[in-house]
Amino acid sequence: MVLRRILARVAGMLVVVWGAATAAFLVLKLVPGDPVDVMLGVSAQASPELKQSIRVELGLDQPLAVQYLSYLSRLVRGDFGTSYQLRLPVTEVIGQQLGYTLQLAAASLAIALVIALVGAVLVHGRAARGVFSVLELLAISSPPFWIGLVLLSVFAFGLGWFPVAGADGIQSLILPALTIALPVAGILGQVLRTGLEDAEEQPFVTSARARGAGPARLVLRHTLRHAAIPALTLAGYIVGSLLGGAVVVESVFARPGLGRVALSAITNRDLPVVMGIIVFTAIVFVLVNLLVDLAYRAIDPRIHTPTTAIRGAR
Amino acid sequence: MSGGLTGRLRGRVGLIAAALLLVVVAAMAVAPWIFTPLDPLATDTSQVLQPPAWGRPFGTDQTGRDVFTRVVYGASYSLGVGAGATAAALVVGIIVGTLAGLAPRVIDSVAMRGVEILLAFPEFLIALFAIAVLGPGPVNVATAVGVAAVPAYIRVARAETLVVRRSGYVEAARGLGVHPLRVAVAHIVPNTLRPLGVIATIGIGTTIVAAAGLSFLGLGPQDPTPEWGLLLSGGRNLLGQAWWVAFFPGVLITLTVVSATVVGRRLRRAGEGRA
Repeated sequence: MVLRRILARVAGMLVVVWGAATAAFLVLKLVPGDPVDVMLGVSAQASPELKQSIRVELGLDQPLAVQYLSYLSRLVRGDFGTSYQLRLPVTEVIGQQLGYTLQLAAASLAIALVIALVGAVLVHGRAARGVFSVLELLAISSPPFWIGLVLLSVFAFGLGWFPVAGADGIQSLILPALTIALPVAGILGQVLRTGLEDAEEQPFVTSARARGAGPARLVLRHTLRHAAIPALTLAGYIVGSLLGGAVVVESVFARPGLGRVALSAITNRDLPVVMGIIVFTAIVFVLVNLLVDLAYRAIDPRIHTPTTAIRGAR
Repeated sequence: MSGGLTGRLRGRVGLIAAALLLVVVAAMAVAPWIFTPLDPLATDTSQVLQPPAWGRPFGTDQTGRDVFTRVVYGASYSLGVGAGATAAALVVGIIVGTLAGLAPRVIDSVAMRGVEILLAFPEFLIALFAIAVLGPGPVNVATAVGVAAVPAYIRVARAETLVVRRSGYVEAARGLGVHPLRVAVAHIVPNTLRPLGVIATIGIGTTIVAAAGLSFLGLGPQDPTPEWGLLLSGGRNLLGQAWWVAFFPGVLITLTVVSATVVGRRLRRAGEGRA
């Protein structure tokens, strides 16, 4: 029973990744322009014979269906192809840069959570909440690249507290992470506050109060749990913001990372890398969704799978 | 009592300021020459990197071009892309959403599944993927941000269609034997427009930021063009010497987006109050 649900779940995840891989393949095949021209660069004067031999070597002369099947079978074996630009396997290109972006994303998420929690839990009173909600609106509306430039100009160029560019230690991580974190914190803060206000009116809060729970215990044990559910629904959106933010922020702060790789692949039409990143993103989202589902069960006692309910009854 | 009153007044002031700012930005887009006598492309080597001062409130850039003038002229591109892409996305969203709302359940639920997946992503990321597929270029930037905006309109158009299709006048039109297409165009779509207009107002802001972001990354129009995102990326390398080149275009983007959001939220609240 449990095994069957796990299998169904894994199958569902694979379908999503397969869908993304297929969509990436089909759409990029429809793109006008000869990939061989892209590989050789605009300025290259290659003979038609040379181009044809490259085409044969890459299998681009095969029918579309054959190309698709060999693409899928290579994907299954973990072979994402070779970057036109860097002449390296795509997995290697992504692998080299993944660490920097993971660091950045983790730091951004941590900062965003702290700001959002402080804003939602500790800020009380009409006036303070009003000020905070204006700040949230500003954080959500400002273009992230502009936030980055302002932080850079004040704290790096102006005050000299942080390095201007690069990825060298925690010093160089703070401003980029803050840039991504502010808009995320704005959205999270809004959702958490609404969730907390909503939780205040729930019967379980009244009963907890009647049992003599103090305000701190009430928030930590009861209302925050309730508010975390709508916030968790945003997980996919937040991960998307972290990834999209990484593309912009790595460019603003001249940091290495997956965002830089993606940008350069898009600008230079390095299709294997573009496809690799699309499939990689799909895998990330599938895993995030799995974690979110597990977290729902951990947070909300009302969501129970049949098996755990039986175990609970014992 | 007085707290409620000042609160209401403050909300009113914010709303008026936001609406006024949108009008000014729209005027910049339509008639930039009212705001500045200068040419956005004119370089002046005697005025390189001058800080803000009377007569050139936003300073000058590394070739002596007036930043204020460039920001004013940039409004037409940014607002044009924002409004154009939003309008196109709205039309596509209405067509697909209405069809999904009227289609058999199987088709409807498959289509909505896809829309829900897309809605789980930030628009900027979808626009980035669209550019990855389409390739860089100013027209492709407009297309990409439009594509990214479509799913939200599909969802609302479909939800409204589901409500409207059960109303008395639609039943009556059907009963009178009006052609289904005519029912959809003349009776259903007009009655779904109100909530769509509200989210489109907020959507223009989102679209402007997404388009400016893509331009900032160098995927849209190229240098001499006065475009807001491009102005910011040009200012990035000058931050150490001339903060104003990047600062002011960003202020204008932010103010425009905040204004669109404030006005849109206000419209939404007004709509909910009436319902």
